[in-house]
Amino acid sequence: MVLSARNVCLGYGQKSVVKDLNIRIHRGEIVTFVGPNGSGKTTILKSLSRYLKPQKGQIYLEDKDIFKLDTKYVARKIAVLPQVKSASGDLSVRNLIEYGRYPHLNFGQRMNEDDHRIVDWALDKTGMGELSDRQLASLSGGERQRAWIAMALAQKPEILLLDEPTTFLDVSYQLEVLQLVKELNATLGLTIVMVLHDLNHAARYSHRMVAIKDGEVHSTGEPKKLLTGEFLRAVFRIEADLCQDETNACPYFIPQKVIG
Amino acid sequence: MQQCTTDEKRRNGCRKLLILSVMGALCVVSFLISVGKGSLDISAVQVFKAIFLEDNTLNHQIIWNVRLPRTLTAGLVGICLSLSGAILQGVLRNPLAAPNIIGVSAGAGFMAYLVLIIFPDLYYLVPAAAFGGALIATMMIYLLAWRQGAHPMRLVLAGVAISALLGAGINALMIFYPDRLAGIVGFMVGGLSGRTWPHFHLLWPYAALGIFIALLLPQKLNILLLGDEVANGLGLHVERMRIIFIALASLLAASAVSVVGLLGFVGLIVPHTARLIIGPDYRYLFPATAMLGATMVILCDTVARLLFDPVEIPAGIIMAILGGPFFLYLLRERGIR
Repeated sequence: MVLSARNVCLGYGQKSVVKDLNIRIHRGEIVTFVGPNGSGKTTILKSLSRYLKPQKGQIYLEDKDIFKLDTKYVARKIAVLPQVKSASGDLSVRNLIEYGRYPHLNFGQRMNEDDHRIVDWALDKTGMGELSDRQLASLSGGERQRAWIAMALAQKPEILLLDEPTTFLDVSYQLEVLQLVKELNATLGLTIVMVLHDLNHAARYSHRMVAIKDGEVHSTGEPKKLLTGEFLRAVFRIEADLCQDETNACPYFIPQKVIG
Repeated sequence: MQQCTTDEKRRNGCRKLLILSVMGALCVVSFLISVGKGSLDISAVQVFKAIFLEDNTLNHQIIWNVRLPRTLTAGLVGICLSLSGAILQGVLRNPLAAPNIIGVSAGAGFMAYLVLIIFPDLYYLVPAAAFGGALIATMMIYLLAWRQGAHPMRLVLAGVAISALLGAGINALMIFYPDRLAGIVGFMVGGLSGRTWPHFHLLWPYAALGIFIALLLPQKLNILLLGDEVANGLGLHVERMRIIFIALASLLAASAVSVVGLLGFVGLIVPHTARLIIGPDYRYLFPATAMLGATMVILCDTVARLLFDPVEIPAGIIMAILGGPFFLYLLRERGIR
C-alpha cells in the first residue's frame, strides 16, 4: 500500500465536501476515480497530492503522514497534474520539463548531466523529442498535455496523480494520452491515480475504479465487476446498454436515458 | 540526436549570456554618458580619472559631489523598481502588475503627503514615512486578501481597493491644504533632481538586501508561475514563497519610492521589455530586468537634466514619453504571448 486515506474529511472553509473517506492505493495499480460532477473526486485528488489539508483524518504516503513529510521529498515520490495549471506561452517545452527536476535539486544547485539525461528521457518517453525547442503556445492541446506529463515524468516519481488528463482534447488525443499513461504504468511500474469523466475510458484503462458519490466512496472494484446496470443507475442515474469490448477485454456501455 | 540537443541547449544559453553582456555594456555606457554629460562635458577617460585617480580637480568636484551620487541613485532606483515589477507580474500572474498594485505608490504617497502637509517642518522624514507607508499598505492588502491562502486575484482586488482608499485620502489632503502643494508635485511625478550622497546612503542598504535576495530566488518564481497546485506538486511551499516575494517586491519598491518619489512607469514596462528580449525564464530575466531598469532610469534622468538645460524636467515624465512608444513598438514587432 503506497498511498492511503484514513477517516479523512475534506472541505473548503465551513463547507464540507468529503466525509470519512478511506482509500488504499497499491503499488503499480491504475486507479480511476469516477463520479458525478461535484461528488468530490478532484477534492480527494487534491488531498492525496498534499495540496489540500484534511479537516480530519490523515493521508499516508507509504506509512508516514504526508503532511509531516518534507514537500520536496513528497515531490520526488508523487507527481501531480491538476486541471488548473499555467505556463507562459513563450516557455519552451524543454524548459517546462526541466522544472520537473526542481524537487531533486538543492537550493541554488544547477542541473547536472544526469538531470539533463532524465529530461531527454522524459522527452523521449512522451514522444516530445522533436518538439523540445517549440514554445508551449505553438503546440496542439494533445502535445501540450504530453509536455506536462513529460514534466511530471522528469520528477521521476513513483506515483502519478492526474486530474482529468483528457479534458478539452479531441478523441485521438484522448486515446494518445491514456495509451501513454497505460504504457508508463506497464513499463515503469508507475502507480497511477486519476480522475476521468468518460466511464468507458475508465473501464478500459484502469485496474480498479473507485466511484464517488456525494463525497463518499459508493463502490470500488475491477471495471468488469463494477460496471453494471445497477451501478450506472445508482451513481449516475442513467439507463444504459452494457456490452463487452472483445478487443480490449473490458466492458463498455451506451447510455440510453436519464432516470427522472 | 543526443549531441544535437546538447548543442542546441548550449547555443541557447550562449545567446542569452551574450544578450546579458550586451545589456551590461549598455548599463556601463549609460553610466558614462550620465556622469560625463552636463553643463560641462567630461570624456569617459576623464570620468575614470576623476573618480579613481584625482582629487581636488574641477572634474573630480563635479563628478564626485554632484553627478556620481545622482547617477548611482538613478541606477539603483531603476534596478529596484523594475525587479519589483518583474516579481509582482509573476507572483500575481498579472501582466499589468507593478509596484502600485500592492499599494506601494498609494501608501508611500499618502504618508509623504501627510508629513509634508501636516508637519511641514519634518520634511526630512519624508523618505522614512514613504517607506513605512508603502510597507504598511502592502501588509494591509495581504491581510485583506488572506483566506486560507492569499490568492493572486484577491490580492489584486484588495490592492485596487486599498489604493483607491489611500488615493481618496491623498485627494482629501490636497483639497484641505491647497496652499501646501508645491513640495508635493515633485514627489508625485518622481524625479532625481538634487539627489546626492545622503539619498544614496538612504537607499543602498535596503536596495542591496532586496537585490541580493531577489537574485537567489528566480527558480522558485519560475515554479510558482506554473500555478499553485503544480508548484505544490513540485515541492514548493506556495504560500510561504508568495509572502516572501510580495514582501521583497514591496521592500524594493518602497526603498526606491522613498528616495525618488512615485516613478511609476519603470516597474511596468522594463520587465516586459526584458522578457521580450530574453524570454520568460526568471534566471535570465532577473539580471536582464535589473540592468535594463538601471540603464533606462539613468538615461531618462540624463535626458531630463539636459533637454532644457538649465531647467530640469522630472525624469518620470521623460520615462513615460520615451518608454511608452518604445514599449508599443516592441509589442508590435515581437508580440506578447
